[in-house]
Amino acid sequence: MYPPKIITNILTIVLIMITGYFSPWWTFSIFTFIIGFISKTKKEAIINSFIIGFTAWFILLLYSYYNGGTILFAKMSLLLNMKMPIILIILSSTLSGIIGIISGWTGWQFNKRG
Amino acid sequence: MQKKIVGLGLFFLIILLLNSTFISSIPIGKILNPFNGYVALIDSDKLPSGKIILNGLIDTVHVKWDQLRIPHIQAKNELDLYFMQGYIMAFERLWQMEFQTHAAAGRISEIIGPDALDYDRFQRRIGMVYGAKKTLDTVKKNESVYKLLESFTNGINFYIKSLEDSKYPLEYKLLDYQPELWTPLKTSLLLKSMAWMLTNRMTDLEYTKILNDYGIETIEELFPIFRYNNQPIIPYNQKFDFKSLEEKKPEKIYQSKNYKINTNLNMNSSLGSNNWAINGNRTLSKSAILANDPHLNLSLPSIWYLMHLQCPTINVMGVTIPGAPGIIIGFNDNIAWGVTNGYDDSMDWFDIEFYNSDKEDYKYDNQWLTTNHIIEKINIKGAQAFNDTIIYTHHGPVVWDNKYQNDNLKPMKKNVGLALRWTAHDESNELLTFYLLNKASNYDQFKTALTHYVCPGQNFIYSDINNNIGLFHSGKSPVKWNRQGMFISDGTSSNYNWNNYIPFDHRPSIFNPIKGYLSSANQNPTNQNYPYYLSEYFAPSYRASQINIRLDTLYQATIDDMIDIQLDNTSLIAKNILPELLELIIIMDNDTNAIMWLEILKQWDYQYNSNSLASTFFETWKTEIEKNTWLDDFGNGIDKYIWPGIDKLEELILYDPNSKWFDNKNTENIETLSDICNQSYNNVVKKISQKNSNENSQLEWGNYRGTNIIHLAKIKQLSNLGLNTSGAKNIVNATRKNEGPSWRYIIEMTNPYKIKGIYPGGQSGYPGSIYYDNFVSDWTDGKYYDLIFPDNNEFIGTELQCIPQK
Repeated sequence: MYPPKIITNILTIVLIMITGYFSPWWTFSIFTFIIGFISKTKKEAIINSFIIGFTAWFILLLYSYYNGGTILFAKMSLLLNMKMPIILIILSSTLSGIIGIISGWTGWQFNKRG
Repeated sequence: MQKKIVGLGLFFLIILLLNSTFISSIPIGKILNPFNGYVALIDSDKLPSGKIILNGLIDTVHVKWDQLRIPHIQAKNELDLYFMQGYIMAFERLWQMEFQTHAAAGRISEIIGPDALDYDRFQRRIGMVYGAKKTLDTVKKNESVYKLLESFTNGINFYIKSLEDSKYPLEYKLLDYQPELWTPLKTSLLLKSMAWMLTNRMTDLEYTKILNDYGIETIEELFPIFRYNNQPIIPYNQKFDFKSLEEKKPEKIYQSKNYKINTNLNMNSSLGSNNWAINGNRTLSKSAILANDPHLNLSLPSIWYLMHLQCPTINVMGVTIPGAPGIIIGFNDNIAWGVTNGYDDSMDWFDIEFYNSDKEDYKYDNQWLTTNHIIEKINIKGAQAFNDTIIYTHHGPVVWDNKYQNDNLKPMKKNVGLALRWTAHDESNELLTFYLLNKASNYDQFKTALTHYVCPGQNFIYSDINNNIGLFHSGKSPVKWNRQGMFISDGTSSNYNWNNYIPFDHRPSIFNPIKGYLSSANQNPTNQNYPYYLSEYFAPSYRASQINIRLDTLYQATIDDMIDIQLDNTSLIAKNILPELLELIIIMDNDTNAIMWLEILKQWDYQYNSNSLASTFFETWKTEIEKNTWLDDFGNGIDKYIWPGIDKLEELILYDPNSKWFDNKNTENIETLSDICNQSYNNVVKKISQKNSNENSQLEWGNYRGTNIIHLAKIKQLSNLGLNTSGAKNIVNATRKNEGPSWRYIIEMTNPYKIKGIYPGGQSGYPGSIYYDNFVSDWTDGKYYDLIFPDNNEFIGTELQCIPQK
């Protein structure tokens, strides 16, 4: 039996993946805000928000790369002065993770415990 | 509470920054996200298939793509055919189409900001929109062609409207803007931008500098109207038995001295092309063969797009410019055609003298005429719009004045200006030309199509299934006295006006020549027998000569022979002058490098092959000889004049080795060719030997020169750089650093046709697609593809059925 926290995170990632296609790109941060809001500690808010933000983008980017995206990713990584597509994927996902941290932390602040 | 505000503030700030171009030239968040950023484009080269409903069609249209990704469109009427052509073009090349029209219209500042303002002002001031509107007005007078253009426009717009924001092509995302709806004016602008690319000419300004400082004798000696060894397109024995029109030449040529011209502007089009046709008496198949390779700036996405258009009244295939309806170079059931740049002087510059700095009136034949002021509003991304007042005279728009100065023309007084007269400003209907060409079935119809053609003047070559061949030097050219418009003209005098134009029937043309073949390579189309002055700026005849040398000895020509000629790397310059130069070389002190290069050159077969070391040495040596011959007389850097052509240098080398031009004015001695030759040779040996010590392969011609196919927005990562190519300027395979054969095509008019073709690019404009540049490596290797021109699209490929909305 998985702990509920992991299930929440997985469900959030799935929700982000679904809603991202018909809403502004930053919509995922609303979800990480909520995750922060319902977290028990600041640390939990930050870590979970980062993991969710990072993982959602990482999975989608990696999937896209292996499903017809090799040329495009190669050109985009050159364009952004990154030598390899995997660096582009990791750095993009990290950016998403950082946005997750900020919104998660803010969400936690809005909690009574904040 | 404070932390909440800080958190929210920080969050919104970051989203805002990542959504804009404030911290980076690209909106990072918008682009990198995996939902609607660049990742959303991954399937955008997937060809549409199955059935779709297109609002705007009259009847069902079928599209099939072959293995080269060439769309074969089958419609039941012309309106649907053009609608579908627009739709498919937009699917493959939307960004390119729009960016080119933005560039032509002087609207790049809207996309990239203030850096492009100078460029945009120039585009407005040369009257691109002014000319495009005039052309469109003429097109509108022909209702059937205008309806087709509207249908083509509707097809493009149907595609644009169907496109989700996330699917906008990559460049829109990178430059952070959106496509706008297409208009017929945009198509007209595209044609004007092609006209500018092929006819722009600043030599008037540069020759004026030589005229002022050296006099007309030097001009006549170094820049003859009929170049040394000119091989005209029209054979020497052709008579021009018509009564020609004449213009009165002023007693003394006007010498503009309104401002100092500091340097040559390096803005002259020197793009060339080859074409030729052979009749069946000289081919193995007994059918005519036509070949064409237009040499243009090489770009990605490619300037060309291959298509096959079919309906009950049209069956045509070939290349077209994305954004232009119909086929520009191609073939139909009966005829084939190709083009090379005509190079007539269709652009003159006029000195304008204003009454005062208000520029309301300008002097003309001792009276004052009123100018027309038009304010052009240039929108700028991230800055306030700029209003530029453009002054129109009867000659044309004033391009340069004290409000818009070229660095090389400073200083301009407040009451003078330089106006541009250009045939592309006149009424024209090139779209009608291509529409009629696409449907033509014989030489008379081919010629009729060309009666509507104005600018850029082209050598249209022709062949048909009945074994006829022909060539027509098309375009609209003013009747001029010798060298009229070669220098800045006097805008205050009617002596320099364009009053009449060369009648269509007086233009150089040839049909079924006795020798059985004909060719053109941008050289002067005629010899002195032709009564009209066309220009002084034609290409030297090196390519033309080599093509004719090859064709002259072919009696059972095949397509493979034609390929061999298109890829011919023979340098006639080297062949003509190298033996002479080698005779003059004196090796000093047993210099081993000098001896080695001498041996390499002696054994050279004059082929500019990619692996040739001799080509690299000879090219560098030739450039050095040119420099050492002309530098002391015609300057360098800011003081540079236009230099005489390489054919003039060849003439001096072969027939006048003691010419005064070889003497270096800066030394006390009197130098001759021998001195220049040895001095240049030693310089090059030193220069090359230094590089040689690193790696020999770097000195091979293909690596040393290389070829770059650059993305239209100059995005390096979307370009294809450093191609290991053969060929050079003035060689039939005219591949250069940034220019070259933009489309190689050969057709043998057997039944069915045999067609070969390739261009350095790919059918898709999407940089993430394999089809973006999949032709490039084969093009570099000199390979060709077999093109399919099926009667009923009898091949297996992706198929799309488009049904009209009921």
